[in-house]
Amino acid sequence: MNYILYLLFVTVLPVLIGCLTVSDGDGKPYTVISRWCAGFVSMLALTYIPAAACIFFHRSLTDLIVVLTLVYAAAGAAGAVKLVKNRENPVKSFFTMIRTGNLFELLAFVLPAIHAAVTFFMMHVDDDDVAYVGAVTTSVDTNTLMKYDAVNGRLITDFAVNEMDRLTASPQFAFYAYVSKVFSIRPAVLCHTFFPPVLTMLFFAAFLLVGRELYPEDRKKSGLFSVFAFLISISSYFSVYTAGTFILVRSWQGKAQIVGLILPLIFVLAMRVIRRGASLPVDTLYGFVLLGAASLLTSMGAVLACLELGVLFVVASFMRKDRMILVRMLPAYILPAVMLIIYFVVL
Amino acid sequence: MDKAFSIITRTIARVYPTGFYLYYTIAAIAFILARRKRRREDTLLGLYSVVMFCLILMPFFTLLIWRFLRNGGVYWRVLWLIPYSILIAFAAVELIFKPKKSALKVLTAGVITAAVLLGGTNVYRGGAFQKTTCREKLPQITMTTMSVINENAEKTGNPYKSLCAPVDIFCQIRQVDATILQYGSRQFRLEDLDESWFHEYYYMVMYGLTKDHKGLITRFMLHNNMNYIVFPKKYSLMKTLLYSKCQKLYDQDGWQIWYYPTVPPGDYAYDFNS
Repeated sequence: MNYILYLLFVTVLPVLIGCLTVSDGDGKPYTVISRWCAGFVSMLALTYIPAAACIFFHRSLTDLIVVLTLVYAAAGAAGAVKLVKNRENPVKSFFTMIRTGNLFELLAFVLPAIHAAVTFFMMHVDDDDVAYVGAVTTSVDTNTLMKYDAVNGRLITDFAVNEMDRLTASPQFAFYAYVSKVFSIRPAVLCHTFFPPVLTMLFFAAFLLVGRELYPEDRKKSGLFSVFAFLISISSYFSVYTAGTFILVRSWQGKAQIVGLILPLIFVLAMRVIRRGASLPVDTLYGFVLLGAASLLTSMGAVLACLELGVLFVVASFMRKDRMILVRMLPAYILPAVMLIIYFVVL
Repeated sequence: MDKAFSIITRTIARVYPTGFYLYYTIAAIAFILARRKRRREDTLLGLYSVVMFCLILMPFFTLLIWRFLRNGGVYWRVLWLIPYSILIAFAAVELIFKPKKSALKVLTAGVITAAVLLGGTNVYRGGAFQKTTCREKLPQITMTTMSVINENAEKTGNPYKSLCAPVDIFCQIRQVDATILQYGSRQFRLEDLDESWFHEYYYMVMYGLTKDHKGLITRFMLHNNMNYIVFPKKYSLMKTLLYSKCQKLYDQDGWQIWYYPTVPPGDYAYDFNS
């Protein structure tokens, strides 16, 4: 039963929350996928302030679970109300998308699904997990947040030791600890077995959305684009430092989610704005959740996301000769600014 | 300036050590920008990539980001800002759909697919994934260590568990059980050793680089309140541990786990009853 609830948490709830973050209408192709990606990113962004506050005020994991449950429930309910108000049916849209699909889109689903199965049944051991998964296990086993060092279990007196400052400034472990505790799945099992398949599908859904923005009228081309993105990723093992290697092999780590989900979705946002010629408040909101999610995932990743968004929108405002395109994106930088203050000033 | 160029070249060599993907990426950017019929989205993608390449190759920018990072060793992630998957995939689709005849489209697709697959290294053949025996996706010895330690803690009534382990188990044990404490930090490298030769000797023993003839390992465990030790049998620590009246808990599959009952709990141990 826990696993079914977990599946609903990572599929249905993000679709509901995503209705608040993206402006796709029901009739556009890939709307459900767009909302799923946006919703997952929104959940990460919504986690940031409660997690940072609970860590700062030395609250327990139980307190964080209560707060996050209320936040996610409220966001999900608001998304559901919006769906009902607009008389949209995401289930119907999803099956319409499947029914009207083509061979390339089928491949764009099947190939990542095969890799998702590989991540479910096989293992990749990474030493960096001593901190990342160790922090989740420490939180779950001790019901605390950043009180004990993830690596050796001692009381934290100096956050710079074992890079606990990075985990505190970007508390992705808090999200995993929440899911682990609420759905009673052990942290190592969650991170290594149950999240990787979901994340794999999310990453290649993000590539499909990039394809949609590049080919809005041609689903064959966007499907083929996603297929090539997959083939390029699986051929990227010439170095353990490539983006393709990270998203396929270490998907549960924050860095992989930055490069596989956040950075491509920033492209989606920028292309949408350049085509429209103006940025709307919902675009600012989407930028805000993207950078907010990046701040949660990893401190260096937040810097990358900010750089990418900044350069894209500087180029876009130059191309459209409209500086408001850039100015309207400035509020998106609020959460990264909070993260930087925590990292450089507080810790 | 020299430092900046050194950082840039090392970074590129780290992320693109072999294969053709760096050249594919540059070719894709050139292809996108050289086309006469371009949409705004294509131009944005191409211009962004050029601007980002220039920024990354600019010494001022390199040094700024390098100094901004406390640990400059992660600078290579800046190359992720060049979206090589998106660029190459986009160029591939455009090239495939350029010819009018279907046969030519199929031929182009075949050539490009071969170039993509052969120009890199396949993740499924590079040893990235192994078979697993548990859902935690960790080696069996880690799970066994956790079980043996917890069984012994229950049997003896002593909830204090602090483990002395080789580096791979060190990185894994607290992923499965955070009530097992450890000595040391993530910077578990010989280059980062404490000045004390005692610590150096401990790390060398646990890396298997030298035999512990002097029995220092048990003195080290006592000094740092570590009451469990796991190691590959080939380390030959049995004499030392028996001399210190340690108890063998496990001896199978080339591994041993021992318990040192006289070690008192460390003052940093958290209250297991709270």
